[in-house]
Amino acid sequence: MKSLKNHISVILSLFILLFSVQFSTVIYKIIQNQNQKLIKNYSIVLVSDRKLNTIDLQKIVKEIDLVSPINPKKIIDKLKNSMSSENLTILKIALPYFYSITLNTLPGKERLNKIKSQLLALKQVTRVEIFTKTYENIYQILQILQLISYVFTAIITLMSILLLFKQIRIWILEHEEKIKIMGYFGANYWIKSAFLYKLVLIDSFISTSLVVAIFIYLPKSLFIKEKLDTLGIKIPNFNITYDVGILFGISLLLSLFIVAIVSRQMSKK
Amino acid sequence: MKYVVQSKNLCLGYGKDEPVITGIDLNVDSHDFVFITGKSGSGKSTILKSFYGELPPKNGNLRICGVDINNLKNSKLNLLRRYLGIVFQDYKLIESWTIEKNIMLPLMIGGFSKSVCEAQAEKLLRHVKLTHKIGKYPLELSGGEQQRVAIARALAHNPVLILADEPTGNLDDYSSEVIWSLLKNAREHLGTTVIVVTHHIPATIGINYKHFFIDKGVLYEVS
Repeated sequence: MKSLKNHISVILSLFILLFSVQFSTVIYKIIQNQNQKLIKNYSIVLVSDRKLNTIDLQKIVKEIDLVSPINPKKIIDKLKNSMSSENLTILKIALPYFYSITLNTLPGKERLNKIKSQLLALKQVTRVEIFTKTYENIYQILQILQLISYVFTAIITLMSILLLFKQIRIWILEHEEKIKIMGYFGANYWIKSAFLYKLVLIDSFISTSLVVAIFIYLPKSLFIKEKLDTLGIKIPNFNITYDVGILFGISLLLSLFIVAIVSRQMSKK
Repeated sequence: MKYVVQSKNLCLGYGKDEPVITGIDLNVDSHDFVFITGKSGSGKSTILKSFYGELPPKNGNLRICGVDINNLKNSKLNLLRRYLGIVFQDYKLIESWTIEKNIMLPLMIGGFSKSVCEAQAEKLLRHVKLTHKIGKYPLELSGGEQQRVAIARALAHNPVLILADEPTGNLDDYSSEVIWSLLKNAREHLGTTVIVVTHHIPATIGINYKHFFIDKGVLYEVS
């Protein structure tokens, strides 16, 4: 029972740590998806005296993905009833070129202003509209969300590491007599600590399995799916090989590292 | 290697205090059976502790199985201990392990295969007449039986030297007799050198032995 309790302490610490890491990864991926959506729906409108093309503008602003001309037909059609055909022809000739510019990344407010000034610096460009306000609000919310998830992960990681240190110290104290007896018969460090490494290996495997199970189940849960669909959020798919590898790797490396430190510290005493 | 244990002007003590044992000159030949006796607290166990490297000498020289114990690195000490078999008054068996696994310990440390370890443990359990206790844990055995397991463990890897600290200290007469006979057999059949620290030498030991007596930190050769 006592041994089970000790196992649970390590499994729980590792589970919380891995859960927060995976949670933070999911948040990151969701934010990236939202960013992509935002980029797709967002464009800069540019007015120019002369024709422009994507390649020329990409030389000035590297974030530019596509420059597409806006057809002024709609505006002209609206004026058809109030203007004579002669005036309309003159207007058509006098109208500047309108372009919609899409970007490949989601830049911050400062960068957007910089892009605006870079585009305005071109002689032929007469006006640039970047719609900062609408854009800035969504962008800020996403950034804050990401920051919160990172802070949350950092705190949880720190707490879990401290808990692991404490628990492994308890393990060693509990097995002190056994370690000492092994030493009387010439066991080296690796033989004496082999059981500790074995225990953390098992616990790492269990905690990783639990986190994996949760993150495979959660996106499939109808309740959560409905809620997220309402918000237009899609949880990225769990990559069995990559994500499991990362989680198990983190858990194993961290626990082995802690065992190595604690057991060496205690063997010196 | 003429002497299994060789000390010259050996001084022993704990921490920064003055040595409690001074000027020990001792030569133990291969196949010797040695008794070190003395009153409680006279330092008998302290001497034994220095022989298995638990207590480094404060002064003087000490060689065990030809290895200089002074300033011995941990890795070298571990190797040296693989040639020793230690028996403690309080048995020092691993409680969470079965008795056969306890006996296998020195062999596992020596890197022997599982089948070799198991065969040797079975042979030794027969030797100490505990085959009927296979699968049991130390706390399920009586004191005498636990000490027999401890001796089987000390013999498992055919050590050059057995160091026994009050091996019959807590046992009844019958169990004590069994323990003495096991130690005698180890010397006679395996040629192991045996050093025993004890309060008194059993009258019925029936072998040639060397006897040292320790008093007020000084070791005297009695016979």
